[in-house]
Amino acid sequence: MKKDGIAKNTMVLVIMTLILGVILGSVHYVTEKPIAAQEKKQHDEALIAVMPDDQKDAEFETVDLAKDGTDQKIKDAIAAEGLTAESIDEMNIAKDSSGKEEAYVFTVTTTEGYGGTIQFVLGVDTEGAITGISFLSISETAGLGMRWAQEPYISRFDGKKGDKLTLVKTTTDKEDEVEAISGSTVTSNAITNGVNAALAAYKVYTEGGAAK
Amino acid sequence: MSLTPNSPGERIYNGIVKENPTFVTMIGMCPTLAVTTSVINGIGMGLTTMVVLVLSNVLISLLRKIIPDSLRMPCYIGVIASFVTVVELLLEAYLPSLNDALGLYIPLIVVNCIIMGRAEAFAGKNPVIPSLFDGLGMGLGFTVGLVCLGAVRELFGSGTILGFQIMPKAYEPINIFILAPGAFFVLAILIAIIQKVNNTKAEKAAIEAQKQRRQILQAAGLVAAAEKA
Repeated sequence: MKKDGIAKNTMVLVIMTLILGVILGSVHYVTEKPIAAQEKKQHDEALIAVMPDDQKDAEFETVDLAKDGTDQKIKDAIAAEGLTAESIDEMNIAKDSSGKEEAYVFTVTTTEGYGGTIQFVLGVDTEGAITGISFLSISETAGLGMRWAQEPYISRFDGKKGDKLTLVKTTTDKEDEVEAISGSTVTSNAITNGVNAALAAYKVYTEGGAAK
Repeated sequence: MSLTPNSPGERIYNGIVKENPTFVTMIGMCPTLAVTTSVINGIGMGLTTMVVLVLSNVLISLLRKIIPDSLRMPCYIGVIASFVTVVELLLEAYLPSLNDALGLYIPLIVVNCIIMGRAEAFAGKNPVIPSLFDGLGMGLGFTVGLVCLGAVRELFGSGTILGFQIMPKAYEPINIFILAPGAFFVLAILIAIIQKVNNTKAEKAAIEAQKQRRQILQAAGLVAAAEKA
């Protein structure tokens, strides 16, 4: 049974591939919905996580960015800031029980992280101040860039405000400055650029008169 | 311990003790060093590898008469890679927190020498049930190795075990244990301790055997031969 002939070997490889294909295909089919549900759950939890403590019961409404060409305006605004690796995946409006708009939540992707793509959720309140940041996907260096996802670093963006935030090397009280994590310049840059992209989108959305 | 060769019990004993992949045959070192920054990561990686090991050993054993010798490599790699993908999908769908903790180490299970090694050395030549238990034994042995290494590194490098504070609060964690050099140091010391224990056992056994030989020869009246034994 172990004789080697091209035709026989090819048949064996075809059979192997078929068997493996069936196994992979069936598992993929079975797990597709649970995986999508997990991603949605993680996203929903991130939306709540960025809200201030007294607004954790907010309801979220997804904004249709394709309407009125808002997504193109956002892309242009981001490009105008000189940001090439950042994009807004989704935008949600957080409303309280009476329907009043409390904050705008942006899902941001930046591809210039040290370990690859970083995806996070950023909340901006109606005054333009950041309410919080929550990471969906980050694979930076443990002990360095990854610290952005933990306290106390993750709170460094809270309360910051402005058209554009600048990274600085020392502790700062200024509203539009953020202290970087020393030793992880690339990660700090990527995240700050992502935040600035969200702030640009915030500006586009609120000045377009679409808010309130 | 005299167990029937290739019986389920013998395979498990072999994988955990006699041919423990981490401390004896020393294969699969890359994930061992990388993942053992904490006990829980070690357990997660060890058990995930064990699942892939069992699945791939069983399938390869089932197909061992069909796969020609010259096609071993591509077929084994195909099977192993497929099962790693299966495990990855299942973790993503049903155990997301473990998926987050193990992150990019899961795809690396494909190139874990242990799985390829057992496929080549055992599953490709033995029936399904022994192969299943061989995978189980080696996987458990790997997990034991990871847990030992992880326990030492987490204890001295973070002061905790499984997240519970064990060291007194005054203990200043020694960071190097969590980093790469620490992994090498701890692994080396653990292997040295185990080799010392094994060597001492072997020495004792050899001395015992010599004593017995001498006694037998003396009892048979062959005094001169007894002196030389």
